Amino acid sequence: MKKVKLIHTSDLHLGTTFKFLKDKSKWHRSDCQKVFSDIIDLCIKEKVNALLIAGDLFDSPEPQKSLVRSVIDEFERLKKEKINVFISSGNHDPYKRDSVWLENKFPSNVIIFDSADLEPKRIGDLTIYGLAYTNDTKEPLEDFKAEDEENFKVGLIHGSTTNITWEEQPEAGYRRILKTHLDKSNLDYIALGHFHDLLEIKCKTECFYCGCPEGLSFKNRPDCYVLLVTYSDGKVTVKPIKTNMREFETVEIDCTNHESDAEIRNILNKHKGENKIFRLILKGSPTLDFSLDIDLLLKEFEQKYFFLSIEDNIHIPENLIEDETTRGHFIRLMKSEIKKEKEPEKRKRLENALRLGIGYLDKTL
Amino acid sequence: MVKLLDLELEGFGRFSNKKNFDFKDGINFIFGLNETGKSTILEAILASVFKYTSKEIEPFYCWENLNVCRTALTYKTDKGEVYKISVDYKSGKRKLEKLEKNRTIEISSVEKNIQPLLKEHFGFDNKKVFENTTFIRQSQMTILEDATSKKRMKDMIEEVFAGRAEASATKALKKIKDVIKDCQKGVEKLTIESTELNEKLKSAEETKSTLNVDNEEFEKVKKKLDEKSKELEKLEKNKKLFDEKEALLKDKNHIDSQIESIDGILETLDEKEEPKLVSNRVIGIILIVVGIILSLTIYGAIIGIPLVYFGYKKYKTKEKPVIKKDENIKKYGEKKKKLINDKAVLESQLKEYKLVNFTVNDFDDLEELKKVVDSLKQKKVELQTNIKRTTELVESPEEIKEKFDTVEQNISDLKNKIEEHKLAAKFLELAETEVHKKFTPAMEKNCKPILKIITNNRYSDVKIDEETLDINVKAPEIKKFVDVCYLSQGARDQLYFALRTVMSNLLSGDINVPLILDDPFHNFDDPRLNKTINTVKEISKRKQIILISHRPYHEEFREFADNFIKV
Repeated sequence: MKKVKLIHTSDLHLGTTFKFLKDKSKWHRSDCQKVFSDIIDLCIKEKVNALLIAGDLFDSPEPQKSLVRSVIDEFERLKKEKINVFISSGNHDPYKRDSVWLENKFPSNVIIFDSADLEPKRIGDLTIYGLAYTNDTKEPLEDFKAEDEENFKVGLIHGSTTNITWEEQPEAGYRRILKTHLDKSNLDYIALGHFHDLLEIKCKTECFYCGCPEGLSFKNRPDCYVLLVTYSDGKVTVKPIKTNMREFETVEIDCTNHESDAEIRNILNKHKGENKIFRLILKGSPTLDFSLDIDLLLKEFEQKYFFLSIEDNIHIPENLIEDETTRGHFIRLMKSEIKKEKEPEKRKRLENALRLGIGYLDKTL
Repeated sequence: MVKLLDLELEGFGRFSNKKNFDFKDGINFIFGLNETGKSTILEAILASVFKYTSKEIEPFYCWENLNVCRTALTYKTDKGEVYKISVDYKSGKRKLEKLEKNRTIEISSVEKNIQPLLKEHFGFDNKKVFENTTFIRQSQMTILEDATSKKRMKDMIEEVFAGRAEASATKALKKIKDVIKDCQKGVEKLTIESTELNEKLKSAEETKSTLNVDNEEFEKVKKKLDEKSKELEKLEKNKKLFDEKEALLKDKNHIDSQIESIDGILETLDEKEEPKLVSNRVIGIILIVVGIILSLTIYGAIIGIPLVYFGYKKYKTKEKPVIKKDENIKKYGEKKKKLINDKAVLESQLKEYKLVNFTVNDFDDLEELKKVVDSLKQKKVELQTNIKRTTELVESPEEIKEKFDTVEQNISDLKNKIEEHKLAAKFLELAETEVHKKFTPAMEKNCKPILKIITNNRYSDVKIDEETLDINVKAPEIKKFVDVCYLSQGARDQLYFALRTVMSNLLSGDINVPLILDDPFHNFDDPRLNKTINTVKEISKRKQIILISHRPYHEEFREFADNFIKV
């Protein structure tokens, strides 16, 4: 009875900078490394036969030496447990001259695909078809059909299933994988990389994007996974295992009917968590009585989050009272200035100035 | 002149049952002790005209009558039309009706239509501004007692202009400018930080390039050390084999020579006759006898005496054991047999070294190689510590760049904040100038006739500085404009009433709304009160007045009041 166990991961983007996380960028970069190390632990704990990395292990083709060294150390740990690692490179860490793949000596258990076309590597009951990322346009599964054999046949590919219907339209252009290609691949499991969230691709074969194991941007869903793939009795089972340390979350609130920041505070209290990377987007057109001091809110709440950002997208309401008071005159003057301004950024700045002026006049600021 | 005609309350505040208050022209004096619901009446008027939020209305729900909470305010507009605004606070619905002689016409029950009409009728559509403009409160009159009243009166005018109690464009502008200053300080500080980081970044990049050189050197040394170490290891292994073989050979040679010498002994043993052994005693006795005989002659004694002596000595000497020849042969035979065995063992060991064919010369370089490996090892450690130290001491350029970016981002955020505050200040200043320019001449003009009447022609000329809002009144005695602080308390009060009356009309867009006096004469003494009553009476000819008080002696007002309402 053939039984094979794999861990499928991709898009770790080790070494990436998270500019939007400001001073937490460094932290989160090391979080990603920690999660990678956790995946190695998981491989050992689950006694898997192999770890599959479907591209973008590194964020750049020439990552820092110290990073590469620590990754190699992690692979060495797998070597001791006789666990193989299969790597198909991705668009961020393509296989090319001077790249990490050619400049370093990886342990003997690490198999890095170096061919521009899918080629099989067989170890025991497992056959992995992988390929090197050498350009952005090749359609990796075009005209491909795996040989018939007893082994568990797995594809390991970094590419984009752009033409497959699914809700979010993924970024196009990169290495198209068509549904017809998937259907006639004759593979038992296809391990994909490139998209950052867990996604099953419905086709004749079990086919999954595992997503990145640690969130990389606000586009990520809060939880991230690696996939534990088991082949037994000719049947493939796929089990997601949660891996992320931090949780990306975005909440949008319409402040149109808000009179104070009480509701914002409620939300900030409700969602808090030391591992949360939280983005609050404020929308709508609340009255000018609604005063907002984002700096103050950040100061108060940022300790309760790993990272907190509050995006101010609120606008001024339509029907502003333009009475004969200084307040009214100020509103009128600012409104006509706002009306004249066509550039959204400058417009928003004027709107903010209006809200500020009223805030100071009404002493809510 | 806008006039309130009737207010109906039900389930509002303290009024659980339906209750009506009629208002008349002139002074409407609402009297009641504390906590009787006087302020509830004012609140009900405000709640009728300006839509309250559910949070604002909550305190007015009547806990004795939780099913209902409603008000209905009937009023006459400037144009003489009569309207009724009914509000049901439980459902949040409002209804505006026009009351004509024999019929009631529903104008609207749609919020977005009602609000503009109310604004048209009352001149305001913001409760706070309305309150700030048409209400005169106790604290405001108290402030007029202050000797620094020039500034106070100016501040209050500004407050009315600003549309919010205790607010003013001047105060707001000061605050905004303070914030701008703070932000600019922040930018300066961050700019220094950014410059420092930039320099740090440059030096880190330099360090990184030297580090790269060190790293390369390290890799080279490491590689060379590996090679040389392997070489040395091999040579040392060979040397060991060589030494072992040499030692074995030496042992074998030694055994060979031992065997050889035993063979020699055995040979001589075979050849030799057994030696004739004469006893020492016999020789001794012979020597003694011969000695004694020789000693018989004088010259013979010279030889004879020593002979006796030697003889005696010989006699005393112990006899050597006599070893038998056969025993010796046996002994050496066994010894030889053992040696041959040893040799065989050695030879079989030596067979394993058959392939070890080195000469001493092959190991000439060994010491030199050892030295090379040691120095390489040392070099490697040096480089390693150097690299480690540099890496630990100096942040990586990437990290510094990240910090630099964060600082730059903070600078740009602060600059944005400054920009926004500057814009707010700019337009607020503009608005302030606009309002002052627009209203100070009208205030001056409209204030004069009222002031004339309420001061019995004593004061009639007022000047208000367009920029500073300084108020000067022409003193008839000296025929010069004097600062308000030189006026008597009474004159100050009168001037203030005159100004407020004018301002409420100006800010309402020339709609003559009622003046609401919320217990402002609370702690007036009798002379001040009497003067004020006269002033209010005068004003009530041009404006409906709603006066609220809880002070019993204010019942004096009853005589003057056109309508007395006791709550």
